[in-house]
Amino acid sequence: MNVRTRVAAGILLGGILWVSINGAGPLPPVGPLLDPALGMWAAARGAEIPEDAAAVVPNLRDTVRVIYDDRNVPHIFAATVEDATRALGYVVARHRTFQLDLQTRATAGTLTELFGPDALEADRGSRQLGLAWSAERLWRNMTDRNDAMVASLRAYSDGVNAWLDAMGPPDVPLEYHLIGARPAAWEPQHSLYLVRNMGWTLTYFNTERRKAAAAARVGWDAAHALFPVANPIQEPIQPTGRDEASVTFDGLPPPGAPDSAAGQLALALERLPGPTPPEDAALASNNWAAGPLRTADDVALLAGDPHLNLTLPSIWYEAHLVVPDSLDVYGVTIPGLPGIIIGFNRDVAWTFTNTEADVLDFYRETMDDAEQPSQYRLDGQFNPLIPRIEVYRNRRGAVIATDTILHTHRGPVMRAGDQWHSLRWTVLESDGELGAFHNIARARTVDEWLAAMTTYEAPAQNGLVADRLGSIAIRSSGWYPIRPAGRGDTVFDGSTSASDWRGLWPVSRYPFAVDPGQGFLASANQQPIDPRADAGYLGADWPPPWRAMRINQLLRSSRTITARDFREFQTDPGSARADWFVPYFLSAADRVLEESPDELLSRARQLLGEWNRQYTKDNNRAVLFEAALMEFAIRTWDELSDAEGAGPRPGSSMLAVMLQDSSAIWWDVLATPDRETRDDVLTASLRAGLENARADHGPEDGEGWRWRNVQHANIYHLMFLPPLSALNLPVQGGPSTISPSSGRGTHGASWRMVVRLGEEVTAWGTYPGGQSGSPLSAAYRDRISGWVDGELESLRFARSIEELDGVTRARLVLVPAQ
Amino acid sequence: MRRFFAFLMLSGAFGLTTIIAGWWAAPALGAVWGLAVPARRSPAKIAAAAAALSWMLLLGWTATRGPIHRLADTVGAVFDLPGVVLYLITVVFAALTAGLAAATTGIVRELVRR
Repeated sequence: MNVRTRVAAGILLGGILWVSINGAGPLPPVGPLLDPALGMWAAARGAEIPEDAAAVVPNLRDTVRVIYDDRNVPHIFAATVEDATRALGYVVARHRTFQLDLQTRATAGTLTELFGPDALEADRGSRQLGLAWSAERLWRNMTDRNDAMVASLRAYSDGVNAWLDAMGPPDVPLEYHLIGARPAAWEPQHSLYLVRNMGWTLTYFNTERRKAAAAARVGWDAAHALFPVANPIQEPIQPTGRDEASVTFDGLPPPGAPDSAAGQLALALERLPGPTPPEDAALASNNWAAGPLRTADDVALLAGDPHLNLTLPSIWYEAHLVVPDSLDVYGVTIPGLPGIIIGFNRDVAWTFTNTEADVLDFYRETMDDAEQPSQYRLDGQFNPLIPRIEVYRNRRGAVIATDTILHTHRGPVMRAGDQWHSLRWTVLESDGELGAFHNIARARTVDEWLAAMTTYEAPAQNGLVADRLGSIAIRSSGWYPIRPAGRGDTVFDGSTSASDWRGLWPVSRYPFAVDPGQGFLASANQQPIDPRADAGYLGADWPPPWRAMRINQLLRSSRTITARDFREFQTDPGSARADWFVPYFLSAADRVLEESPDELLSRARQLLGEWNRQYTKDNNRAVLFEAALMEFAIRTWDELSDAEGAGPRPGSSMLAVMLQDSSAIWWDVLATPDRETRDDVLTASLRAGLENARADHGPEDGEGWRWRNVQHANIYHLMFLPPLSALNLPVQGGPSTISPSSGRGTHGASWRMVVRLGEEVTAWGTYPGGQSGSPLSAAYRDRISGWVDGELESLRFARSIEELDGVTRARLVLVPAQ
Repeated sequence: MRRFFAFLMLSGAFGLTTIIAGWWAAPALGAVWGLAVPARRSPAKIAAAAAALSWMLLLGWTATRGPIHRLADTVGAVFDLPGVVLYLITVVFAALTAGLAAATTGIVRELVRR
């Protein structure tokens, strides 16, 4: 080999080593990736947890035994609650290390430290909102108090870090190999980050933006009517004594003149930094319970069905904690939180849906300098803005950007164009959630559970509870601000303290019901209380109550309900929305066809008439209804659309009640010279719906019209990597059914649970995913096929280790450090 | 026979050092081999072959301890590659880094000899 060849070899080697250490483009450092002993390949060796293992956990008081059952659920048997919490941190980290880290970073705005500058905008959004900043502030306050929750957070942190510290090469999650990084240590306050993150997911709704956008096109009068504070169809959570939904609709004012100031406001609100959930991502959670009056064997039954973003691994982790004479609780926790969030103990079962309350307000601030403000105006004088410096780093720790975020006394300030808005948000101020979760796990009756929830603050939740005595109750718990204007669906003048919140609703005023005469309770994110019972402002532009109407219809239909019925209700294919709209389409078509033949309309009417209004997987008519209804909304609300057809669109309840007014000016389609009526729009939509359905899905009797080929759940891996995801899963249910798979299938039933509170508590549950966060594990997605089919699994609520003998998959012993 | 035995020993050394030190073992041990063995005995080729064999055996050992094919298929799919290519790349990587390192350090040996 000559010198030239050897020099070339040296250069080539240098290049390979450089890529091996630094990576190139999307490639992580190649050396560790390909390492067969300590690198990516080692992850195969750690795909499954071993059958027997032991570990040392600092600060543990006594030995903790963990039994993993055949569903990979850890049953933690500990001597103290803090030890159980340490063990929970350990077992969650053992299965979900990457998820813990990624969630924390997403909230903290430190994704750039994993993914580099590509993640900078997402990080800026998180930090602008101040989620981590407020969690850190809360942690400082908590450590001053040094109460039981501080001990609990520290114990959980001990457990997580014990796992991280002992992690060998096979235990490093595959994702870290793919991005060339390692997990960060866990801090106790990271649990608080996750509470804030849930607050963002469940309450960061910009109700003001859509209304301002509507006002820009049709004026404020029409906008207020189109996006009302009270939903025109009332089927509230707090029972009204009526057996069906009530409608309140006095017609809509005609479209007014465009309002350019509203347009500027809408634009400013749209530009506000911070992640804004897409408008079509309705989370669609449900819960319901029946007391002995309604059930076949005179016991209480409870169903939990929280709908959230579907991810792999799942947002939930199932666990059972046993501490003799102190705690025996089973359910799901969110990785990172030191307790069970939804579940049951030996006496009580509980679950939540999101209240969808408006707990966030924007204030337009007057600054001393439009470009570089240092003061904001309040009550005639300038007050200093408080700066917060945020530093963004890359994977190597080098600073890649720095922001100065300003605060008024209300909260963080955001710039949108030439306007400055401050944000006040209950999520940034609350501190009682974890304490409430800690206490409800120990409740023995509905009353005790409700008492424990009085400290709950944010995000507001409809907490449903049932006990073994047969009692059921629901309360929409959380902080609801009292605004001076009586409503919060507008942007306030920040230059006066008269705009500030005047306090919070007292717990005694929260929407509430216990053991109602109807024998059941349910919630599905609808307006919690009929404004005729309490007109206080809780929110605006509420989700339509279709799911609530369907659930209540099912619950009213029987006095011998069983747990099996509850399980079937969770994937019920019926739709109150279809029941409402279809008769209008059919009648309108009949009226038009009586006057003149129309082949296309006749065919569309025939096909829609054949539909049983069920969204089963084999149904081949739902697709026509959805296409027709889409057209109907577009044609009806054309006054709100711009030249490209984009614009705010009122909810389907407004469209539904509009049907009562057959000659409203809103039916007129601006693009035609004629003055259309309701029936004109309905029939035109039906025709267009058939044409669209044929164009998108083929001929009406083909497989393309089968609902299984239209509606899918899409469960993405946390990094949106398709090979690690479960996509295009055909599911039963459609828009506004109990299980709608909304948001293009990326949202759905995140945990389905049914609990029978008889002499013994019996429960069933599942979630779309699996206990393991390792894509290589058999337990990564083992529950998905059952979830798709609407099946629940029996949950093993064992009283002792011995009871798990026949179903033990693995054992773990945690011992104190010497 | 002696050469073959030496080759096996070298391969074992690659495997052992990889288990202890990780992927750096391939170029590092290759470099040492290039320094130690005269050019006429083709140290680069031998180092490349020994490293490749040792990493193949390590992959085989991993296959007995976990779902390595699932890993190859999953990660391969992330990079739009068939899983089998990932095995090939891994073995070729070991061979290349060991062989190139041996070839490069051979210069030092020759300079010292002159």
